[in-house]
Amino acid sequence: MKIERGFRGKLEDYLNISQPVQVKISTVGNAVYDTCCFGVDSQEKLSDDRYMIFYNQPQSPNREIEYSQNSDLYTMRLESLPAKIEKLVFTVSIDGNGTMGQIQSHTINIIQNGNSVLELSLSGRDFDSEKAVIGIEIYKKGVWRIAVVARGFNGGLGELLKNYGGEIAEDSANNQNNKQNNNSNSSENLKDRLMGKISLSKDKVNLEKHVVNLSKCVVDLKKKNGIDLGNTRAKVVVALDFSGSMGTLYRSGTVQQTINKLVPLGLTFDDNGSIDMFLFHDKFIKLRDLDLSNYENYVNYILSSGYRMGGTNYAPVLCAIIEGYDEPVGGFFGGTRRIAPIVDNGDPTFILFITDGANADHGATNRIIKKCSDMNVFIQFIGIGNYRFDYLEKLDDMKGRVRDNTGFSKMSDLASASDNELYMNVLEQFSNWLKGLQ
Amino acid sequence: MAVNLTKGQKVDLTKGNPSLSKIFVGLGWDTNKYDGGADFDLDASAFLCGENGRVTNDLDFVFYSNLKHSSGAVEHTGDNLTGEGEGDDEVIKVDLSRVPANISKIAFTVTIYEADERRQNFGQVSNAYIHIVDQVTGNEIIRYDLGEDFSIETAIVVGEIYRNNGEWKFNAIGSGFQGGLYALCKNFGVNV
Repeated sequence: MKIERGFRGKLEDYLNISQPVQVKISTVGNAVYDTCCFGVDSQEKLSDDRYMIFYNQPQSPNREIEYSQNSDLYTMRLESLPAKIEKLVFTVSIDGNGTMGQIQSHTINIIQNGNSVLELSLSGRDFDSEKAVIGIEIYKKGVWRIAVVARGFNGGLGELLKNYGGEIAEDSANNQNNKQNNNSNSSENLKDRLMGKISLSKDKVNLEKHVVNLSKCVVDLKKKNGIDLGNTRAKVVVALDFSGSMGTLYRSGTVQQTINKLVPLGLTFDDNGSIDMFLFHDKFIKLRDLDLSNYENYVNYILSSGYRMGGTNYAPVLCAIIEGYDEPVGGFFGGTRRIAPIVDNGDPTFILFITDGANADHGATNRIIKKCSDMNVFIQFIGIGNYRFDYLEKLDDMKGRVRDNTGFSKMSDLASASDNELYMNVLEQFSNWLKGLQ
Repeated sequence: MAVNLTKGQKVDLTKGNPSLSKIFVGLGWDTNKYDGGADFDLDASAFLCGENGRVTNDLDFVFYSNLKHSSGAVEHTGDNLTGEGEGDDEVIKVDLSRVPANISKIAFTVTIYEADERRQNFGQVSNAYIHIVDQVTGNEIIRYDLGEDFSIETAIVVGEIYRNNGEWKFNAIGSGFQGGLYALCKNFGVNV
C-alpha cells in the first residue's frame, strides 16, 4: 500500500508485529546519504545512546534493531525493545554537499517476510534546502503505530543527534587525515572519545561507542560508589589463556566477545591507546598490540597464527610482563635479545588475566604474585567459561604480600553483562589497590 | 474535575447542572515541529443543524468569515493563523439558552486551510482536543482528546452538542473526512 506524508496507522493492521519488521530506506541523488534509526524515550530523547543505530553502531544491545549498511535495511523485533524505547525515528541525512531538494527520490518500504507492506515515495519536490529528512516514526501508543513525518530538517546527522539530546564527538580534520597513523594519534583521539560523545566519524569502529558508554559509567560510578579512575593512566596488558580447554571458547566467539567487552574498558584509561597482548599456555606468546583498528578480528588473527594450544601455567606470562623476557632473534647467529619489563615506575600496569582456570603451577604463580606485591602492578583475573577456579577463588587469602595486588571475578556470562556490572567487577579491586598506593 | 471522554461517548451537559448556559468550546492542537513546509492554519467551525442534521440556511455555519450567528448564541472568537502557543488555539462561545428552537445540534469541526496546496493533513497534527468550559465558573466540564486516530484526513468533526429531552448533551464524535471544509459544508448542507 502506498502511504503519504501525514499517514498514521496501527502496524498490526498491516503486519504481524510479533515477527521481525524491516524498514528499507533508499535515496537516489548525487550526494552521500546516511540513514539512522533513533530509538528515543517518551520525551523524544535519546536517553540511551546504544539505541542510535547507524553506520557506527549497526545493532542495539540485544539486537532488537539491526542495521545492514549494504542494503540500508533495518530489521526490528519491536516486542523485544525495552519499555523505555517508545519511538523509532528513521532519518536520512546528507554527508557533504547537496540538499534534500536536489534528490531524485526517497523511498521507504516497510517489509515483512520479504513483502513490501507499506511504501512511501518522496522526491526532491517534497523538500527544499534541508540537509536531512525525518521519514517515518514507528512508535508505541497503546500499540505499535506508524506515522509518516516526511519532513525536512535543517541540519545533518549531527544536528539530528543534538535534536534528540545526544552529543557528538568533534572530529578534527587532523584525525580524518590520519587513518593510517592511528596509533600515534590514538591517545589524542581517545581523549575526544572519552567525553561521553557519540562519534559520527565513519572511519572509526563502533568500539568507540563502548568506550563512550564506559566512560559514562566511570562518571556515574564515581558519583555512586566513589570509584574514581577518572584521571588514572595505566599500562593495560591482557593475558589470554590458550590452554586446550579454551578451544571451544575461542571457536564459539566467547573470547572475541570478551575482548570486545574488555578492550573498551581498558582503553578508557590505557596510557597510549594500544594494549599489550599475551597468550599463555605452558609458556607464553607475545602477540601484536591490540587497538581500535584490529580488535574486531583479533581472535581470528590468533587462530590463524598457527600457535598450538597447551597446558595452563600462569607464572611464565606474569614473569614476562613483570620482569621482562628474552626474545629469539632471527638470522644466522640466532640468539636472543632482552625485552624490558612492562612494569616500571611510571604509570601503573594493569593486567587483565583472562582464563578458564585450573592452572598447574600454583607454587610458581604464588611466588611471582608475592614478589610483585610491592611493585607498580595489579593483576585482575577474569574467569570465563565453566571451568574450576579453586586456585583463583583462594587468592584473596594469600599471605606474604605487601599489598593485595590481585582481584578475581568470574564472568561466565560476560557477553550480556552490562557496562556497569563489568566495571564494578573488573575495576573495583584495582581501584582499591590504587587508593592503597596513595 | 472534567470528564475525559473517549470516541463515541455521550455525556450530559445541562442535566444535573441546570444553571449551565454560557460555555466556551475550546479546540487545540500541535503542529509542525519539524523544519520545512508551510505553516499549518487550522480552523474551527460550528455548524448549527436542524433535525435532519443539516443547516437550514448558510448563515447557520459559523466560521472565520461569519464569526457570529444571527441569534447571538454562537460566536467564534477569532482565527489563529499558526496554532502557536499554549492552551486553546481557537474558541467558540455558545450560550445554550439563546440557541434558537429549530437548532437541534451544533457540530464543532476543525479543518486545515489550503490542506491540498500545502500538502497537509491531520496525520501531521498531534495532541488535538476539544473541551467545554463553563464561562461563569471557569471550570472545565468535559474534555475529549482525539489521540492517534487521524491520518490523511483534512477535516474532523470533533464533537457535537445536541438537544435530548429538553437537555443538552455532548457527543465525542472524532470522525475524519478527506476534502477539508468543502466536504464538511457539503455534508452539513451549506452551499459552497
